[in-house]
This record gives sequence, C-alpha cells and structure tokens, in this order.
Amino acid sequence: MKPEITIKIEQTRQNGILVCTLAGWLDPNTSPELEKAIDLTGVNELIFDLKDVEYIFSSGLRVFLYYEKMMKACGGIMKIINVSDFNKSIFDLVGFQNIVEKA
Amino acid sequence: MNCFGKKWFGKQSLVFKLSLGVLAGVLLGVVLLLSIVSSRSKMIIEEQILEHSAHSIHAAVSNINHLVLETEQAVRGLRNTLQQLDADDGNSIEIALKSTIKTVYNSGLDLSHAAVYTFSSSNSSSGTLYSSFAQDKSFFFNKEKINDFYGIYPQLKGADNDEKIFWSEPYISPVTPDKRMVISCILPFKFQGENVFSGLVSISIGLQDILQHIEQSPFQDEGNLVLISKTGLYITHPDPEINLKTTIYELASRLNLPKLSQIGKKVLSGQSGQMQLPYSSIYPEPTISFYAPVPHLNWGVCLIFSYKELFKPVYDLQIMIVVSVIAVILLLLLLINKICYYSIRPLLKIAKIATQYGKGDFSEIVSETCSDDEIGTLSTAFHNMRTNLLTYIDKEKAEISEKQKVLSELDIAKKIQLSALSLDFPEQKEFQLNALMIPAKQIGGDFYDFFFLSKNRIAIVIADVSGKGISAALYMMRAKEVIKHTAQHTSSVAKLFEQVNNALCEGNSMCMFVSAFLAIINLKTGVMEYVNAGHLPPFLIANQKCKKITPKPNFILGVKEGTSYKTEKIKLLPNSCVFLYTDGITEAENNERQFYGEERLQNVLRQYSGSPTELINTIISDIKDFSQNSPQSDDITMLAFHYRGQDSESLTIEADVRKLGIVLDFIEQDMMQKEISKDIRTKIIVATEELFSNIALYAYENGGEVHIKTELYKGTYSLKFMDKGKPYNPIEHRDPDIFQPLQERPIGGLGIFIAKKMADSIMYSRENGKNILKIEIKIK
Repeated sequence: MKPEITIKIEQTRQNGILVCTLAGWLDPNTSPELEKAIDLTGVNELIFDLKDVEYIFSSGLRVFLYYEKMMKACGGIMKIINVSDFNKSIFDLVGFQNIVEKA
Repeated sequence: MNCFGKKWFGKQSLVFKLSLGVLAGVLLGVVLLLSIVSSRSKMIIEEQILEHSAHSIHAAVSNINHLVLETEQAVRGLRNTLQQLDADDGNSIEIALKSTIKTVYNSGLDLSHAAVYTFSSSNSSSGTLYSSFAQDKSFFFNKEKINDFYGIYPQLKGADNDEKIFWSEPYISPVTPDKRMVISCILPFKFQGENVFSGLVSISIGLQDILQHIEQSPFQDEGNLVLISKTGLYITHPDPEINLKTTIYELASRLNLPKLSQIGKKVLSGQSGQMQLPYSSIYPEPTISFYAPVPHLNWGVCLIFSYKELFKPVYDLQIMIVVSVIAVILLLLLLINKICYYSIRPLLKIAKIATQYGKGDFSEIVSETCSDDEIGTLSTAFHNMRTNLLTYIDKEKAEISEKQKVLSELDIAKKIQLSALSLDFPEQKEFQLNALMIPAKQIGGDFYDFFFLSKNRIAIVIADVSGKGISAALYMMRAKEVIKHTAQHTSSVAKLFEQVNNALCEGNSMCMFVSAFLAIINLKTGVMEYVNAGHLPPFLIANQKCKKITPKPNFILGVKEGTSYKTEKIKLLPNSCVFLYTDGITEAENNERQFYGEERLQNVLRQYSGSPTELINTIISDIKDFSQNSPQSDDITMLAFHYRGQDSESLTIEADVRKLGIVLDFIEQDMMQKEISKDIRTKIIVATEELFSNIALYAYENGGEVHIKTELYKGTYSLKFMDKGKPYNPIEHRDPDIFQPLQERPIGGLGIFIAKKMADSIMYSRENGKNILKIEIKIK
C-alpha cells in the first residue's frame, strides 16, 4: 500500500501569537506547503508545535530556517515546541538548538 | 477574332453586343442597297439621257432646218422674181422686196430683214443695196449706194461665186436699228437677158430667232445646248466672253482638252455621236457631250450634261436613304437599349438576390414575372430554388440540432465512460501499474479496472463491450461494476466470471456481450490466477521477451447463461510485466488502411524498460506515428502491470520525490524484517530520505531511475543508491557551518550533512556511468 506522506497544518492566532500545530512528515513533498501556509501579518511570536511530527528532514529544517529569518527581520520570535528526542537530535545536529524546546 | 478581341468582346455589356450586331447588319444592308440603287438608277438615267439627248438634238436640228429651208425657199422665190426683171428697174426691185417681206412676215416666219444688192456694171464690190424689214406690222424700205460692199460685209464674201445658197457667219445687222446678230442666206441672181450675176438677194435671220426655235424643242433642263458655226465659232455659249468670240478649237487648246477639238472636227464634218470629258468650259466636273451636225448651215449642235447634275437625284436619294437609315439605326439602338434594359433588369436583380442568398440572406424574393420568356422561366426557377433551399435549410437545421443532441449525449456517455476509469494508479514496492483509455469519436465500450481484494491481492481487468454508443457505455458501466462487486465475494476467478456472466445475461435485451480478461495477483508470491472470456490474450514481458498468456479463451460474457469458465495460473517472475489491451490498438489504421498489428506491438513490448508508464506512452506515440492523421475508429485501451517481485532487498524506482513514500516504506519493511531497532531505523529512514531526495532533485534533468539495494552483513546494515544521472559525489560537498547564527545561514546544504551524520560510514564511487553511494550503520 502506498504510504501517504502528508502534513496537516493547524493555526491558532491570539494576541499576536500564532501557534502552528503540525502533524505528519516534513519532506520535499510537503515542506513547500508549509512554506506557503502561514500568513505572518501581525504575528509577534510564532510557535510550531511538532507533537505529531514523526520525522524532520532537511527540507523541513529549511522551512523553519525561513520562518526564523522572517520573524527576526520584523523583531519577532519563533519557537518550536514538543519536539521528539530524535527530532531534537536532528535540530541539535544542525545547530538549531536555540529555537527548540524539548517536549 | 484574336484572343484579345475575344476578351474585349466578352467584357462588353449585352446591350453593347446586341447594338453592335444590329448596327453591323443594318450598315451592311444599307451599303448593299445603296450600291444597287445607285448603280441601277445611274443606268436608268444614262439610258434616259441617251434617248432624250438624241431626241433633243434631233429636234433642235430639225427646228433649225425648218427655219433654214423656209428661209432658203423665200430667198429662191425672191431670186426668181428678180430674174424676170430687167436691169435697173429700181421700182420693180423695191416692189418685189416689199412683197417678199410681207409674204414672209405674214407667213409667220420672223425674219430679220431681206435685202437685194445690185452690182454696178464694173465690179461686184460697188452697187446699190435695197433693204427692207418689218417691225410691229410696219414695213420699212431703204435704198443706198455702196462702194465697198465686201469691206463693209466681209462675212458675205464668196456669196457670188456660185449659183448656190450661201450662209454667212454671224454678223451685226446693218439694216435693223437694233443692231442684232444675224446670219444671212444669200443667192446670186441674173436680170433677164444677163449672162453674169447681176447681184445678190439675201434674207437674214436673227440669231435670237434661231435660238428661240431651238428652245422650243423638248429640251433638257439639266443640259446645255451649244451651237458652233461652220468655222467652229461658238454661237450659243453661256459665257459671254466665249460666245461669238472664240472657236471650239481655240477653247480646246486653252483648256488643254484635245477631245473638245475632236468634237468640233467630227461635228463639222457631219458626224454625230457622244463623248465624255473630264471637265469643260461650262462644268468643272466630268461631263458627257452629245453632238450632231446641222445640215445646210454646216453648223454643229452640242448638248452637254454634267454627271453630277445628271445623278443629282441619285445622290439625293442616297442622302435620303442614309439619313433615314441613321434615323432607323438610332431608333433601333434606343429600342435595343430599352428592351435589354427591361429584359436584363430582372436578371441583374436575380444576380443581386443570388449574392444575398449566397450570404444566407433569404429575405428578398424574386417576383414571378408574368412574361413567358426565358427570363420568366428563370425567375420561376429561382423562386422555386429559394423555396426548396429554405425547406432544405430548415430540414438540415433540424437534423443538425438532432445530431448535436446525439453528439452531446455521446459526449455525456464519453464522460461517463472516462470518469468510471480510475487514473489513480497504485504503486508499491512489489508492483507498479499504469493504464490508459483513449475513447474513439464514436464511443465504444472498452474499460480497464484494478482493485485490491486484500492487502496482498490485486485484481486487474480489461474488457471490450460489443457495439458502440451510449448503450455500449452503459453496458460497460454495468459490466465493470458487476465484476468489481462479484470479485469481493468470490474466491476463484472462474467462479467469478461464471457469476458475472449470469448477471450480465440477465435483462440483456439488447443482446450485448463483453469480452474480458481478469487476473488476480498475489503480490507476495507472484502467483497470477486469470480467466479469459473471449478477449485478446494479454502479453507477459520478462527479460526482453514477450509471449501471449493463454492462447485458448473461454466464451464471452453476457450471452449464454450457465457458461462455465476455467481458471488458469502462472507465477510471475520478479521484474516481469503483464500487458492487457483491446483490439483498438492492433486494429488502428493508417491512411493506407493497414492495421497497426500485433507484430508491431510486440516489437515495442520487447523494448520494455521496466516502467509501465513509459511503456504505455511509447505505445501511444508509436500508434500515432503509424496512423498519422487517420481518425481513430475504436477505443484504445491498455493496462500494464509491472511486478517487482518479493525481493525485499532491492527496489528500482523513478527518481522522483513523489516516490519517497514507497522508498521509505520499502526500507522500513526491510529493516522490520531484519529486526533492526527503532532508533537505528529512524536514523536510516532520515539518511535514506535525504539521499533519495538529493538524487531525485538533482541527478537527472529529464527523469530517470534509482536502484536501491539493502544488505545486513556481520552486524552492519548497508544501503546502496545507484543512479545513471550526472556524476556527483556528495561527500565532496562542504559541510555547512553549524555554529553560524541562524539568520546568516544559507537555506540549503543541510541534507547531505544530516545523512552523513546518521551513518557510520559513507562511500561514493562512479562505475559504468553510474553514481554509487553506499552508507553503513552498525546495528549492534
């Protein structure tokens, strides 16, 4: 059976804080979707919740890097929360530890 | 007529052509008529002139003769009287003279005067002249002595030579007071007893009197009568400069007309006749002269006619004819113009209306003319044509809308048919599948289908419903659903088809039927169970060879209830392909009406590279090459099922990120089988994702394949990626600076780095045009 590679993106906005809950994989097929999905207008703090993300690949990391740059450019902050141990090790591996909070 | 002339004539209007024709005809007729009329009338006139002139001349001459003879008789009478007298008897002479004058005068002969001249005894040039004349019934008498008689009257010289009548040339009368021109008739006489002439008697006639006599003749108005004396002197000539002053000979030499002089000689020598002269002293144009001699006087008479004046009536007639012909021609042209205009006007209108009809505007109607001529017939025909056209158009419109209805229904049927066919082709590590149907313009009832019966069992179907159109499409839908539905509940394919057959036989009032092939493949074992109900045998492709599956088909579906079917089985080898198709492929036609054929199909199948999608695309383009622009007559349907087999340690797959799921599933399954721990599995999954993505995104420009091979050997799990893309060694790629602040990092370059970090070792080599990348992870 064909394994489905999908990403579910759920956004919650409150007082300039945008919580983006992701579910699925972030690979070259799904990452562009995430890159287009978020409207940063009026967002001071961007939080990615990776509770249901099984794997993070480089393409996913690239999207986080992109949003990090965008937020920094307008004086905001970006956080990634609920990262699994393994995924944390990937973030660490590429030097992203500052923006990641462990689950 | 030369080519240009024809072209020019062709360009002219009908009116012009008719006018030209009539003009030419009339002119030809007129020219003929004129030439006949003029030549005939000239002939008649000439004949008349000849007759009349002869008559006129004769009359003139006889009138003069009459006068001359009477005069001569009177002279003889006087002479006879005198010859009985004695000489010197003056009184008797006077009496004789007076009586003669009286007698003559009373007889109606208008003489000028009578005279007697008596010689003196010595010579004849002196003597006594007795003269007498009558005027207004009074008689005058005179007597005088004359000394030089011939000196005074030179014209009378020679009169006494002979006892004959002598006619003098014209001279001025010495006797009459009016000094008229006279000619004298003279006779010598002898007194009684004398031997020699004693004197002369003479009677003179005025020229006027002679001319009066001539003019009493039936004279031609057109002609001019001219008298010449015996010396050739003109006595009557209309030109006073010539009259009595010039001779015919002098005039001939003056006018350079030798013929004129000939006339003079001939007439004075007593001949008569006619002669044509190019001109004369009277007429500057050609003339004809009739001439005759006057006896006694030895004179000549000439009657001169101008041809121009003679033929004047002819010319007048010609002018009249020409004028009336011109009038007739003008009238004809006007009539032609009018007739043509009124005749052609309906034609022009018809032409105009025909143009409108050509543009589809039928609003104007050709009025049916009452005339029974060709134009009337044309109008009626045109009117009927319009009626028929309109009827035809209405009929055609109705047919077209009917056709459109059918076409749109066909369109719907086509959409139904196509929408029933799944385009979502499943792919797993064990197999890959692709199918295509191109419906023909006139829709057929082909279909393909595939569906899972369980996780490891997939069914593939191809079928061709008899007939075409909506009924075929609907029956196809029914067959497809029945097969799919029945398959879920039936274990053997033969039973399946038996049930399907019975279901399709039910209520098949249209007597439709289906040829179908169905196979169920066990993905784990590669065993394929199949049944063929009258369909074209599919091909099995393996190792560049292709062969037909089951050459003996069972009976078609939907015809005979209770037909039994037979299940057959084969085991598919890894990397083999089952190719199902309908006769739309082999019976595709080219312009020479040749079939695409099985052989050509097999040639394509033998070159199978391992990708069903590619196989189907190759076949379609080959059919297009073959058939050129020939219309597709039947649905083209095919299904290719590629069986990769249960080799769990290798996978060949398109280098496409969309295949990532299959690749990762394949690795996951393999590692699960090898009981590799979750942590290691995660690492390997991440490494595989990065490396496969890298190849999929960068190795090929136009697509290609990746071959993946796994191995567990002495506690080390190894993974090999092989591709035929451009040479690329990822190990050489510089690692990103992970201590750089995030904002300054380039986006990218992380994947290879992550993969390297996941593995214990990574190796790259380039062999036989292939990039080979191997990673190893120790699992214990």
